Amino acid sequence: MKRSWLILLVLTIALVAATYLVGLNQETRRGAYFAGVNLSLLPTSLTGAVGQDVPVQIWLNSVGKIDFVQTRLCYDNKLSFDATRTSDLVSVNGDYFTNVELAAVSHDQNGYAECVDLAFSSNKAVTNLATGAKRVATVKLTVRNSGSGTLAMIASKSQVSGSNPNASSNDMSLSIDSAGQASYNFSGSNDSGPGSVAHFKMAYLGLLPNARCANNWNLQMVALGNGVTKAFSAVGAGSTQISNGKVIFEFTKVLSGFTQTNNVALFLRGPKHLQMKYGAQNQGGMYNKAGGELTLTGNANTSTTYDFSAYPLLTGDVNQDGVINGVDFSTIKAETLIHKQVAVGANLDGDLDGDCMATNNDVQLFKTSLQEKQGQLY
Amino acid sequence: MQKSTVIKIAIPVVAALVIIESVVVLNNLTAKTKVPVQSPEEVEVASGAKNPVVTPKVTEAPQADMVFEVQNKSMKQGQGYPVSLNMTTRKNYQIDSFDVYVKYDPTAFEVSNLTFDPKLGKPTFSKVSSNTGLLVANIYLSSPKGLAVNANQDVLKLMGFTVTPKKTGVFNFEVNTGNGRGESATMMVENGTAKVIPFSSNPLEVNVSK
Repeated sequence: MKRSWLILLVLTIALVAATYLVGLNQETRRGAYFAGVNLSLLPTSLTGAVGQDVPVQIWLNSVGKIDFVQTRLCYDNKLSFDATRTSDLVSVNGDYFTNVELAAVSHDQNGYAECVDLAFSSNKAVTNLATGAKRVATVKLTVRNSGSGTLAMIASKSQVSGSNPNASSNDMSLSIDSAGQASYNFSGSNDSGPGSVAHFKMAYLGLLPNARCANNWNLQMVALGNGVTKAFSAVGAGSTQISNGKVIFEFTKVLSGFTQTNNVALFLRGPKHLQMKYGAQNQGGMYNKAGGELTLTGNANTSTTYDFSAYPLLTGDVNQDGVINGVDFSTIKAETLIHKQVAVGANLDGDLDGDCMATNNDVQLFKTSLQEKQGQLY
Repeated sequence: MQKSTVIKIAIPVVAALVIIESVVVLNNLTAKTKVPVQSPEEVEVASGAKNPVVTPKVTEAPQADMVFEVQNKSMKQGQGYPVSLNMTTRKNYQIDSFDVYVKYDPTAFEVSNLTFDPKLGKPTFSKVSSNTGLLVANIYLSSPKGLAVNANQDVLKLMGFTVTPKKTGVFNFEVNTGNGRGESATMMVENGTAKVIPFSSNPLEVNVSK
């Protein structure tokens, strides 16, 4: 009898304990969020003109201490991000973050024409990590077309992690409670106002003297001076001369809205070419210093004519993704195999020498460019 | 008599209640621990993060496999060992180009003697880059239809090299997939379509002792 009561007592205690456990919120899983975070963009309304780089700030607001933020910004064809200029276009808030871990562009994602995935990390001590409302980084996007649209931060492609105050927990992630967006309205080209004047000569690698399909090649430029940048989607028409079998273009460009006159560098990019940096007079090879050594004036008559023709733009980036690789080769090769040609003045992707045909010479130019670029990188 | 009857009924009832409550507790735990399971091919980890977080990435299923081949993953400091990176495909392909980048630790290994499958011809560019810790080879095939690779049959040696360990420890060789700017991305491109062939690869872990 006594034993029976004892058993009943034990079971009753177990029942009470089980009832208590059911009522508890059991968060024992790995990967649970230890806090939430709101991500936002500032300003919430962007303005600018075609060719300008517009800055956008990424902000976080959380009670947690944050050491890593990854997010995706998406937009339509009025904006673009040049991943080859990441060091100029992306800057972290050095008070709380230390590294730009990722800046990768993709197209036709999440219903937008282009997206850029960005990630920032911090190796600061826990006491110095971002908490509360803090700016993570500033990103500059280039205005490509006029009009209005929305810059969206995609919550489902965002991840934030930080230092969990509960030292015994493995949960480092924060839930994304909201992800901001900004509207934009851009006007047409702002290339009519005052600015410094760039006067320079340049060349395209392998362009034939008798080329008849390079007349419409659009040269793009970014001017950099003392940390200020401005993009110009079209340098405009230049004059040409033939020197020692090389076609040399000469341009005079008023850099409207760009008033820096010293420590200037120019980034040039052709329609099937890599973007290359020019920072010194008579530059004959890769310029790998920060900033530049060019000096400009506000007057075309007094601006120095800089000669960059000894270091022609490397060709072969036919899909304009910023690198020369097998995808470009395959495109050029396919056109070469069928001896594809176009009318005078028309564009042919694989026509690197401007003769309106895709030939083995274009394949060789591709390989020459690749060897030069790979030699610089590795 | 009544007391014993009560006990005879109460014990099994309470026991049953305990069992039911236990099941409810366990179910609650399971429901709250359900998180989406991502297969390794579907996630992207931003490099350098102290607490790496993953971003689900839409990827095509791999159609080729790159595998490191080495006789012995246990190596002795100062001795040379041949290693190769081989490739097989899961369906038939005609391939136009191979951009191969293998990441390694240049403080741990001396790498030399880059070789390639004779079917690939001479690379347009190849280099052991100790500056960047990358073995680089860019191979572009001029034959009109590229290189035919038969599924689950042909084994192509993309790159062979000799490694000489310089210090002890555990180190990796891995196929590099890019630096976020599109540079140094290993890829194979299909003839005719210019499409990149998705592939899978795993790092080679090497244990070096004195």
